[in-house]
Amino acid sequence: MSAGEVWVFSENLDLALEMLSEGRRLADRLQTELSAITLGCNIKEQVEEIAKHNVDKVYLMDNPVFKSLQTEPYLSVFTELAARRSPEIILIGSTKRGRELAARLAARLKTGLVQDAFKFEIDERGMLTAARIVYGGNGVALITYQSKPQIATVPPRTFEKAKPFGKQADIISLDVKVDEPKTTVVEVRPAEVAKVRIEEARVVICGGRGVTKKEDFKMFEELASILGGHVGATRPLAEDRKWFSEWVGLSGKKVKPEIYIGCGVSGMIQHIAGIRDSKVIVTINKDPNAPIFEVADYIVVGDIYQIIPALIEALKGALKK
Amino acid sequence: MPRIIVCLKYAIDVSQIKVDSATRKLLIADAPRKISDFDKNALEEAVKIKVKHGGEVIALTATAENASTALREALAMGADKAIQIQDPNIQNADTMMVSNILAEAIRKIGSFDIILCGEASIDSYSGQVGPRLAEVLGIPAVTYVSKVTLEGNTLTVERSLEDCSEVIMVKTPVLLTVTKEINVPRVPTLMDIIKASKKEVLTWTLADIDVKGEKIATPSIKVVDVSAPKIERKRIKISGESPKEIAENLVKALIQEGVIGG
Amino acid sequence: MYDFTETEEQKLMVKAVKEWCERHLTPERVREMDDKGHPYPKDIVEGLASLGVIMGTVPQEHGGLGLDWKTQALIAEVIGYYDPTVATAAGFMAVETGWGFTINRYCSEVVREKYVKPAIRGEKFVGIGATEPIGGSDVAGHRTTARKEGDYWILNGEKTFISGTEEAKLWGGGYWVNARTGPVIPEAPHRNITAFFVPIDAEGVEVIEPYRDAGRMAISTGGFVMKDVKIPDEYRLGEVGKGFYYTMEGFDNARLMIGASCAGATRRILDDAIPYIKERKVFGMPLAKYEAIQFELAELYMEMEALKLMVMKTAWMQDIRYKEEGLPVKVSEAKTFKPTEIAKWISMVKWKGPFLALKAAEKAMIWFGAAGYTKEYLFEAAWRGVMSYVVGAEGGQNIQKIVIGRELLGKEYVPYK
Repeated sequence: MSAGEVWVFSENLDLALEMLSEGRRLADRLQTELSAITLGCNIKEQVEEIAKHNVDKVYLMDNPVFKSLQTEPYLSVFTELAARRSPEIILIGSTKRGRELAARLAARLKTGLVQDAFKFEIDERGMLTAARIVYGGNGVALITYQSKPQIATVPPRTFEKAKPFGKQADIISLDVKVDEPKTTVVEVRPAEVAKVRIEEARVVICGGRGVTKKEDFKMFEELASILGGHVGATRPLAEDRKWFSEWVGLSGKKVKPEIYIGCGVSGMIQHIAGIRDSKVIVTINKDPNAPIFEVADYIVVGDIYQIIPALIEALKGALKK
Repeated sequence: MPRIIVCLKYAIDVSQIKVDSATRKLLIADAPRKISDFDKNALEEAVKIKVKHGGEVIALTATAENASTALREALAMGADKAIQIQDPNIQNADTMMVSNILAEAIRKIGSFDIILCGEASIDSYSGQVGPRLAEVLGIPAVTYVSKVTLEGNTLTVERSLEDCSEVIMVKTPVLLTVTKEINVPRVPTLMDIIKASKKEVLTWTLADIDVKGEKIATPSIKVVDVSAPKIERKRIKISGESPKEIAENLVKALIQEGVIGG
Repeated sequence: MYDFTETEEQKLMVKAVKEWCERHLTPERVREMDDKGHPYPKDIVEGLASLGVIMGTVPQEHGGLGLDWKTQALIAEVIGYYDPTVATAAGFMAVETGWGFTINRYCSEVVREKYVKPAIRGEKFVGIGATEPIGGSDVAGHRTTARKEGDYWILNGEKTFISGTEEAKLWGGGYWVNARTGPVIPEAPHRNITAFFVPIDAEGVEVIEPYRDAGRMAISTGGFVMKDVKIPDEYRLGEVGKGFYYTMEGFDNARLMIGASCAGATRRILDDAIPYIKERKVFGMPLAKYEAIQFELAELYMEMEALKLMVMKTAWMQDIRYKEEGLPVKVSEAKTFKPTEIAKWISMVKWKGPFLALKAAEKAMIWFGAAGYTKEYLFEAAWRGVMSYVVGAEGGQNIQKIVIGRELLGKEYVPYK
């Protein structure tokens, strides 16, 4: 008995392309077809893009009912299509919309869902196993499915984007009854550039005693703006040199960013206590014996006045792609 | 005068989890539990609605362990009644089973106008039960709500998404999941706590809510392992012949870590 | 015997007080309060009042919550934990809760409405004005006098080193003041003393400039002079001539709060120190691995747990004393425990608490070295604050030992009256 299809869906094109690469791998492993679900309003370009990326079929419905991305229309199409095609695996992009859709769909199909899965395997039974982070980051759970379809949501940047490959996929227009939304979207406001506090910042660049002049913080500001982050300083720069009124450390601001970059920071324990929950700690310091090297993930023994400008250039290049 | 049901999870306090250093297994059974943080936001919002519009707030939870002290806390925060569905079978229940159980309990409670949940639990953070519950009950849901206004039987809510926020109108009955931005959960006063001892905490078993076999028999998924991720700092030295090379190597490493796009 | 299981209500109350303190008595706020000094921030007092922790033991019909002393002691422990400078505990657990409760037992409805209830609501300040220029410990030897004139009493005297005078002046409020209302009887100098409630703004009351204290900076220490202050008889506390006994009861209540809050302060000091000594390495090894430091930590911990048990037992005795036969009774009529038996336990916790917290702060500073000597940590502020109890706030430390000695050896061994 051959396996049903592997489906990939996201309202976000980049995320859909990322999932296609993993979807391809899973479909090949199961010797089955990879299909992309494209439901939206005025999505012709996206559909053509997806169809080029090594996918076997594209199921399409381009209709104004999807314009406001409300759940009920999507849910009804997925349900009907699932009844017809009995997919093996459904991968949905883990956006807030995606997570809600996936959960409602799983309930409607009375099947299992793993949210924010970052790794997949097919076991001896041909069933999917998924890994996800649990307990606030304290644990990784390995989860198997006991039902089909096996649904999972996948966070952005978990997988590399698929490369264009192979022939253009068949685009199949769907003729399915679509449920009307049960809510009314009255207004859509683009997100404000929210005033994020350093304690909540995703990226923190911190200058320490290795910085000679207050004006040198300009290069940290530039680095921060490329990465979408905040700039901080260690306590000596605030209290002794009186360059700032706040600092990052045990008695100052405690940060927990995805990336912390310490520049000329030696790593006094009070400062470390304020940054230890950072996901990735990068440190650049001239002194090869700086204590911060003990608690860092990536260490550069070097002069911040040379490394930081080079880093800014390298990032500009990488992020442009 | 709306009747609002708030679904609470008696969740693991993730800040108190210990790890067996030899096996890297998480000592979950020993960890204390508390009302999941976002569920407190949901409860706070329910109480605020009641203060403004009158009505009733019922706190509901499905739990294997006795959660009566946590429910007493919910009563102190302003819930009028608290109900726990307590059964050892719930220990291994997945989100499908939990949403079925909550749905049956809600059917036993009777009519309602609004169901409030947190956007996700602090220990699992999968955000499934809310939408699943709405589906099982056949009502609309709006997730990630950061503001609620009620007028008659129409709710106007603000929903915060990654790239935008939506203003949505929906009629009751409806289920909402709320974010922590929506409010600051109150600290009950000592007088609130004294008054809470006079309010009801009901304990129902699965038999009481007449949950039929198939709804709780087979979980849809199975957790086969939970281990601590390796948390040691990597201490990887990034080198190169020139600052340019070093910088490029560093960027590559960060892209690999998934902390910068690229 | 003793059941130490917390009731569900106590668990939730302690949790609520902790949550409130997490939000409002942050380390930064406490540091700011200590650096800035008095007057005590009104927003914190109002928050504590709406929470219900101030004078929680006052009966509900008088505006309090009718909590038992065990619960109030648990609350005081949390307050001592979150403000280890003990300014909050001193002003609002020891003084307002300990003495305020006692004022409420003996005051008229007028004083209750005008001062006690507003203090419970965080609007006014009520305190104890015991110490005089000639000294604090010798309460019976104090010189303030009160003579009756019709329906009034005329008070003359001076009170020094009184907590909260700036707060009372700013917010309104008053003080428990003892005055001699009859001749000194040489063999029984404690007789003929009457207690009064003196409003801080009464005519003839002159508030003295506050002292520049070494610690617990957020609450003021000042004093006041009374020159022919006219106090209506309805401001008298309890019966004429019984003031000394009521005062001993007031000290009992305040001192229990001190023992409890110092247990909390000690726990806070250890909780702040332990993560550091686990991380900080010297000669390649974490400080915590050195036995010298581990042993000191173990000793402090043992003494803290012993103190907590003593506080619980003492609170339990207080509850029995006040709830004998279901009614709050006159202290002298208590059946189960003689007041002097309870006083012994009170003195034990009053002596132990401050010295233990002082030692914990000192040890923590020494473990940390120069870093612990800075204001980056709260150890030095805790040391300076707790020292106020050691030097004698709410009773001299040696007096506590004399009280214990009296109970063990007999009244005839008390060195002086």
